[in-house]
Amino acid sequence: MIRIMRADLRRILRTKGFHIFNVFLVLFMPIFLLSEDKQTALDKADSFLSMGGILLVSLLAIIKVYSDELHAGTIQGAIGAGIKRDSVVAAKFLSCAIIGIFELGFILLLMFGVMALDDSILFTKNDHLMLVYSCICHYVVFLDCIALSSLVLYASWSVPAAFITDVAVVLLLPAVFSWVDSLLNTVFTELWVKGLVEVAYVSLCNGAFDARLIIAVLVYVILPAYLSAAVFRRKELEL
Amino acid sequence: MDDVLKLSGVVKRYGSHEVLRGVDMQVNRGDIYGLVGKNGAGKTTIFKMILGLSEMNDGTVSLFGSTDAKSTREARQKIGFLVGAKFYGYLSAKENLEYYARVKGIPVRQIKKEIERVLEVVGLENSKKPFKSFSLGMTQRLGIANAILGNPELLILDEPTNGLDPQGIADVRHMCKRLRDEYGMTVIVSSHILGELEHTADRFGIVNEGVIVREISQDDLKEKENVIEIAVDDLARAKQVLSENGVHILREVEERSTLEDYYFRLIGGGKE
Repeated sequence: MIRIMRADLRRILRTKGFHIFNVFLVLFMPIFLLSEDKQTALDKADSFLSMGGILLVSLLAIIKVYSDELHAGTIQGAIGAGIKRDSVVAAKFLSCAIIGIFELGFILLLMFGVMALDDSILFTKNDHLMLVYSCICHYVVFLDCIALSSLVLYASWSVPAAFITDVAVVLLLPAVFSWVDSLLNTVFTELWVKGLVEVAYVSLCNGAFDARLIIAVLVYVILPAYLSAAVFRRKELEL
Repeated sequence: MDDVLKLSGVVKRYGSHEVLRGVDMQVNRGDIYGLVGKNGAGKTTIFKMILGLSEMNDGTVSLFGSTDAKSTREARQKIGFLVGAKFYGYLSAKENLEYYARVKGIPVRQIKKEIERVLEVVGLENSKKPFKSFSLGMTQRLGIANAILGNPELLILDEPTNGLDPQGIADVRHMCKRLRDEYGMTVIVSSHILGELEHTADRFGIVNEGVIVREISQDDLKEKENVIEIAVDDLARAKQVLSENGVHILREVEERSTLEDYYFRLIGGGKE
């Protein structure tokens, strides 16, 4: 498993797309954070992660780890070389997880850097901590995107289906749940992964840990990741 | 003889369609084994079973004497295979091979040397451009380089001459023999070009409609046939009689069956 991860991460570091993405972040972040509007810098940073940041990072991970793999057909090479199917699934998921940590860490550093450069932004020590909490909570959403997208991908062997799942997790389903909740007075939004981590984030900012973060990890990350392995174990692979 | 691979009664169904109908096949150490059959006969499905890419419905696959799931999977680490071009388009030949070398678990310190060795074997040592700009011939060469990466004991080559020019085809033939003779590899090779396979392999499995209908060796092709096309019981006497009656035999041909002849006699059909 470790050797697949190493091979994957080294390969991804060689791709232009990965570096172009990071250059884009470096150029975009100051423009976004320093633009004048009513939101505070902290709110802007949080809304960047919530609305677009996680989606972009998860799409990058899916493209680099899964899509390239499916197009090239290299997954068959690993299985034919005697690697366990469960190890392949785990290695791919963990490669994405590492990309997520790297990218969110990079985004966090960029945010700190931009805010430090601008004297007009008031950014307290507490704000720094809240931004770290925001990143941790959004990382759970990122992992959910990867777990659900990979489950769909292994079941359908279709990259577009995985992309749609990713967009649905971050944008479509929260919007639909919110609309249904307002219409029928239900609580779907709170039960969805984004709802759970938002509550957990507020608790963390108030100095308390909310168990809903654990529930989000178990239900929306571990369970779909386990199902991905189960689906892939019986998958017929074409040559 | 020491068998490297043995398939016994392997059955594979997709729904109600039976693709393999009880395949029995044995490849011995040091063989160059040619798998012959038309499209859809089941050659690729046989490879999928061997490589663990598909589950069989019945039968057993024994790889280096291992039959249970765990030890068979471990035994697959001794296999190198070329089945289509499975490479990243944006990486060069060396970078693609480095990826596979890491996946195969070749020690990091040996990777560079090993890649140089296999690229030299297939004649791609000077290639620096990305894989997506490779010609079909270069693609096949890189596929073979990847297959022999790490010096596997068993080499599986599915249609390795596809897209190659006559020189490339001859190179593959020599490469198969070199890999067997110099590196001690056992080779399974499939091809549509029967004439070519005949000069490459020393044993053949003829696949038709999901079964191996016959396993033959080069010796079976060497059976001589006298083809004087007259119906006689005693050839020597016939020649004597012809001679005594002033009939000159212009040519007497000892005709050897080609693999193609043998195949079509067995399966039916014929050359186009």
